Amino acid sequence: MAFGGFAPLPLRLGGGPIHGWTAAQYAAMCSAMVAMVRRAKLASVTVEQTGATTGNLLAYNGQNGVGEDYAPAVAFLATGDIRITFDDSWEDAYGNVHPVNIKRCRVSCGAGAMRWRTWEIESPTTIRIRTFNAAGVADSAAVTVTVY
Amino acid sequence: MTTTPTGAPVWERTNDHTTYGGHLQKENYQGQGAINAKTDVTAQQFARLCADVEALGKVADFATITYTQDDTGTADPTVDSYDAMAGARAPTATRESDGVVLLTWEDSYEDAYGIAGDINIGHVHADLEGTAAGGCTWTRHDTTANGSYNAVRIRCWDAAGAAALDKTVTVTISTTVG
Repeated sequence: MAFGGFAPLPLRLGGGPIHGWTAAQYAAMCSAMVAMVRRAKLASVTVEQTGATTGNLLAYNGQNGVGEDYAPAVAFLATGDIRITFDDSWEDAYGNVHPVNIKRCRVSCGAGAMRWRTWEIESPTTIRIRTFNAAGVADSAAVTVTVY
Repeated sequence: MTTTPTGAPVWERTNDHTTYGGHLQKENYQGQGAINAKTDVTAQQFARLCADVEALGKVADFATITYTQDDTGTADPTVDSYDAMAGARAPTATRESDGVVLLTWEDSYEDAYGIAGDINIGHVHADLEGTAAGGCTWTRHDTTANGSYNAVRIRCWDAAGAAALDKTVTVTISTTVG
């Protein structure tokens, strides 16, 4: 049920299941969106360390975009020591600026042997990941890092 | 007649705000905003919806599975729970050796409208349940050799770095662009 005969916006809530969008359906969608936005991650980054100070980005999914072009800066500081630095903010397609303020982090290691891992928030935009072997000695691994 | 949605299933990560009807210049007809806030959705509100759906669709996890290994019985693990964007079609869970399980997803799944979306695993989290020290590691695999990762091998370890047996494990995967 549109505003005018061929005017799609503003949408007028109502109508039937084929041509309409009811207030209850819209309310359900709003409720679901709020719930998902409240606990949505900022990004997941997966990298592999190939040497003490070298490595590769394997995958990036962020609210700002998907793929290497959107990924944060990754520095391989030493064996088992990785720093990930996001920009201060990101801009959505409509030009709205969203500040980056990292509060939580989750890390898992990709390796064929046991790895321990820790994470540290160095700044609102910087996460530092350390990985260790079973003996607690710094050792490299691929890592998936999810930040919130 | 089923409506064919624009774009691809969200787990292909290729949709943007235009997929959902967003447009940078979209406007209310003849500049007329909402007449009644209780019944009308404006172009501005619709734009916000499209931008937020795009952002959520880029980062939402594809699936979370919890399974319990059966290393004592040398049997495949039991899937305790599974939730995924594509519904309840859990991956194949195969015991390979002590503490090692291979989770294999299909190459693609259909969304609610019957549209197929390819799987390419980009990110993995794996954690042990229990009270003893230990952990998990993962590796990604392309078991169908189609250029996309559809499987993960999970290894469970005790504090000494030996295989951890009969553990309950939660694994979350997120897909990425192919």
